Amino acid sequence: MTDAVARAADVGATVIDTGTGIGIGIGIGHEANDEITLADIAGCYEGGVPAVICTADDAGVPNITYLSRVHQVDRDRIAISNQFMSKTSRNIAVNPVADLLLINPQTYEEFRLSIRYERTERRGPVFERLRDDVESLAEVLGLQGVFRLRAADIHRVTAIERVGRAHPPVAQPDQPARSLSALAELTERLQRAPDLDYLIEVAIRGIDEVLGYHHVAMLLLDESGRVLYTIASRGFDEQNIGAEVVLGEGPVGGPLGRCALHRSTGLRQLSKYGRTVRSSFVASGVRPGHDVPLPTLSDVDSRVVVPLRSLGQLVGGIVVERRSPGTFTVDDEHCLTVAAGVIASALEQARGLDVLDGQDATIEPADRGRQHVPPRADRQDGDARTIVRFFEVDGSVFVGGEYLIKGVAGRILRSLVAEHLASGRTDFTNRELRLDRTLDLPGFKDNLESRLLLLKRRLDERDVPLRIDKTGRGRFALDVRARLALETVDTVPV
Amino acid sequence: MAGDGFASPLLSLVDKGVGLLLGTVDDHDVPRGTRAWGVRVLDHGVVRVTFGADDEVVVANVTDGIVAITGADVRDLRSAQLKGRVRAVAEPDDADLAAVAFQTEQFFRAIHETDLHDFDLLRRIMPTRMLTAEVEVSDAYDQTPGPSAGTPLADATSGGQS
Repeated sequence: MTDAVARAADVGATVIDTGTGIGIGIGIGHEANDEITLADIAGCYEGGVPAVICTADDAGVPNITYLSRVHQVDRDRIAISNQFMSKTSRNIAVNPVADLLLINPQTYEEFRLSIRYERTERRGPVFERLRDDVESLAEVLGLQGVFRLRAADIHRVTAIERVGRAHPPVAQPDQPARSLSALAELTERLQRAPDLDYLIEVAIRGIDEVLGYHHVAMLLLDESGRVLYTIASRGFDEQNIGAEVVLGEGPVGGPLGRCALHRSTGLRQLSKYGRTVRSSFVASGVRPGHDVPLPTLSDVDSRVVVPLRSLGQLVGGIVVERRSPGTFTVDDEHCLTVAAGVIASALEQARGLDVLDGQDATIEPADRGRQHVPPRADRQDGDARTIVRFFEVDGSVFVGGEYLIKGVAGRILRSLVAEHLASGRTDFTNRELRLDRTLDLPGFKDNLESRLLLLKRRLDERDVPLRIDKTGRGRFALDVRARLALETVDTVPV
Repeated sequence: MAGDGFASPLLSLVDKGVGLLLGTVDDHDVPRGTRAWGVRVLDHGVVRVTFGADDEVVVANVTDGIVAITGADVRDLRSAQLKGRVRAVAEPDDADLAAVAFQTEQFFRAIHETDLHDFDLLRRIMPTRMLTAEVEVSDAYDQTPGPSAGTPLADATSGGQS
């Protein structure tokens, strides 16, 4: 017997000294169980630590394995997703009792649940909740239609007991503010924003600096009502201004398509599970489609998607993500719902004002005097020209061979560059753009101001020799910093 | 009884940081699981698994019972499961404790590196007491999530699915 074990014997526990610094020392006692309910252990359902399920077949042979997640159904029941006809499912079919071990990732308290199978659901709200998780993962993996939820197995919980003793939560660093005072400060800042551009900057900066959500993206619904595009972001490796999400699809477009807030947790575990499942499918001969990378943090662990709604209409969404341990909670849902409501109302008001401002904007005589001034000599690059390549088919614009933007914003840039090359003009108005038929704007709610702002922010983000500067209400200037050449192509960009 | 190579998939996982589980069942076929903390292989298809023994039901089930031992790599969830009958239960010997020390460190380190959880938190799931079961392994299965889960591994000599 080692010294460590001898010491352990003295205190009635096993103590192991690894001698490596981690120090696996144990010696905790068990405490009497209070009445524990499923609601008391809500943190266990976030998926931060895989659950364990033990079943047995009709011959009395046990089977024990990890589960990605357990979902609470009501005060007495839990649900387990069933993607494969596994041994666990077959055991449950012949012997309906099972044993679950769950860990709360905030405290690492462990609980044992004795459960009895009740029924299997293949439709309904519980099934849909579990299906959302599975389908989001399948989409990320390119396994849509292959990796799918077969059923949700509903089990009645017959007993809950604590394994080991109770522990207090560990303080998590860098928690969001989630306070009324923080929301008040954000609202105050938003109220001072004079226009749409400033408002979006204040909103995205405020969510980061005031509310404490350091990885945040804001999306707006486009004029078709079918696509969301990223208008601003903070805290990611790339801003990805202009990145698009189809409404109703994927972990961001899905919830926003339903105009519903969605909180996803335990994404790191889910991702590990998904990668392994994917490679397992490949090994079995199923070829997945292409990977569809999410606009996301690498190694993201939790995410909240919040709809931006004004007067009952979806206008966009806010996405916040977290990498560090310590998951988003219901409190974050509440805080972000309030913030999103204020931001959405302010956005719609600002967009309306910008449209009104642009109605009577014209180029003043003083401005006309500088319209034909060629680009400044210090901004020229000899005789070399930067190629602005425009693709008719989808409005894509490449500058110097690098993709910049597409759609309405791309057509706006093409129009501005063409006019600049033809006349030397650099000053423009929103009103003349609105009358430009080549932009193919819808007659109602054309979203021009938002698209122009998207173009401005995308130009700011990318290292291209073009900028847009606001010069007044409904007016702006194209800042050209190189000699340009415009090429229009009617084939599909490669 | 399985051949000597039966446990190699599990042991190859153990060195990388693996979450170990022990599944048991009582006389009425009611299953009961616990976490295990170390596993090592003896000759002739026998393994010694050291498990958390705070739960009296688990301890009672293990004695002379049939058990399932699952190991899952923390980093990618690749898993293997062994099944067999327990032929002895005893306090862990020094070699068992050495296996527990090494494998638990690998396990915690893998969780810390991949899931960013603190060691202080992880230590909370350590049991108060451990016992070691000597298991005569009869079956071994790939338990990795996906369509291949349940495939018998080489050297497993009898049927069944995991």
